[in-house]
Amino acid sequence: MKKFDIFKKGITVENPIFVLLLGLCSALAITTTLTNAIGMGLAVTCVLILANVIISLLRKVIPSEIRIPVYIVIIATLVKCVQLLMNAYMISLYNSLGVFIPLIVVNCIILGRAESFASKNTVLDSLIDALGMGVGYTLAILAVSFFRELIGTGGLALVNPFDSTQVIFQFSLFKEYAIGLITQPAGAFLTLGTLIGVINSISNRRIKKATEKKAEVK
Amino acid sequence: MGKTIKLAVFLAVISALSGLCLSFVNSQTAPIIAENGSSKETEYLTKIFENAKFTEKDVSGEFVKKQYTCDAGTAYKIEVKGYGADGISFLLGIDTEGQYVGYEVLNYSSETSGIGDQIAGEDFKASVLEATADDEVDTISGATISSQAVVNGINEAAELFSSSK
Repeated sequence: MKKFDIFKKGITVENPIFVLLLGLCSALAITTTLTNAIGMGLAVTCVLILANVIISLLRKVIPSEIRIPVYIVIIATLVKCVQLLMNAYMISLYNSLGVFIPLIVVNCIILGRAESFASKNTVLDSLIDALGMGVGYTLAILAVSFFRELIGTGGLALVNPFDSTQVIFQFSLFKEYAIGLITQPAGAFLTLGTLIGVINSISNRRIKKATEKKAEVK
Repeated sequence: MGKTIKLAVFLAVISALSGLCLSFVNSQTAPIIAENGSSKETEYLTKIFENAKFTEKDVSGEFVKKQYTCDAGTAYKIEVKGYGADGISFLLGIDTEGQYVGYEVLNYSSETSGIGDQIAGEDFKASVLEATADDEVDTISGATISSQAVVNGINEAAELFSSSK
C-alpha cells in the first residue's frame, strides 16, 4: 500500500471515531471545548506515534502469547511519561484534561492500532499509520467539539493549549439561546451519534454511486 | 514449563525497562512540578496581600499546614479532604481585625465539576469574604461534602488566628 494511502485512510475511510468507532469514551468526555479537543488530539497522536514505533521495532521480539500484556505495559509507561511531562510543561492543558490523560492508556485506538497494524508492519509504515490515525482522531473530535461548543455555549473560543493566557480567537454569537444540555454527557451522545450517522450516510451514498457507476461501465 | 519461564522473564524485563524509563522521566519532571505548585502559591499570596513581605511558618494543624504572616494580616495554607482523592488546598487571608480578606483555591481538581467545584466559584468566595474569624461560613447546598471540608479548614484557621491574638 502506498505511503500516502496509509496516512489518508486514518483520516477518511478508517477514521477511528467515525468509522472504526474506537476511542469513543474520550470523544464523548473531552469534546466540551475546542481547546480541550486540540490538547487531547495532540496527546493521543503523540502516544499513538510512540507506541506504534516502539511496538513495530519490537514486533519480531515480542512472543505472541504475551503480546497484549507487553503492549499494555509499553502504552501505560508512555502515557505516564506524557502525563508527567504535561504536568511539568503544560500545566493549563494538564488541568483541563485532568483524569482523561491517564485514560489514554485504555483508549482503544492505541491498543487497536498496535495489535492490528504495528505488530505486522514496518516501522515507517507504522509511523505513518499512527500519524494518519492521530490526525483523523483530532479532526473528528474537533468536529464534535465545534458543534458542542457552538450550540451548547453559543460561541467558540480557542486558547493556546501550551499557554492558557494566549487566546487565539473567541467569539460569542447567541448566549441566550444556547442549549446547555449539549455540553453535558447526554448532549455528547446526541452530537456524536448524529455526526456519525450523517457522515456514514454521506459516505455510503458515495460508495453506492461509485459501485453503480462501475456496474454501468461494465 | 521452560516456555512459560521464558515468557515470564520477557515480561519481567519489559516491565523493568519501563520502570527505569518512568523513574528517569519522574526524576526530571518532579522538581519542575513542585516548583509550579509553589509558584502558584506565591502568586495567590500576593493576590491576597499585595506587596507584602511574608514570614513563612509550618503549622502542624489537622488542616492548616502553613502560616504566612505579614504586616497586613495572616494567610493560612489549608489542605482538606473533600469529595475526591486529590483533596482541596486553598489559601485564607485574615487581616489583623479578624476579617477574612482573601480566599484563593489552589487545587480542587478531584471535586465534581458543577457541584463540588463551586468552592472555587465567585459566589462562595464572596460569602467567605463577608465573614470574620468569629463567624461560621455557610456551606453550599447540594455540595455539602466539598464545602463542609473547606469550612472545617476555615474554622481551624480561625481558631489558630484567635488563639494567637
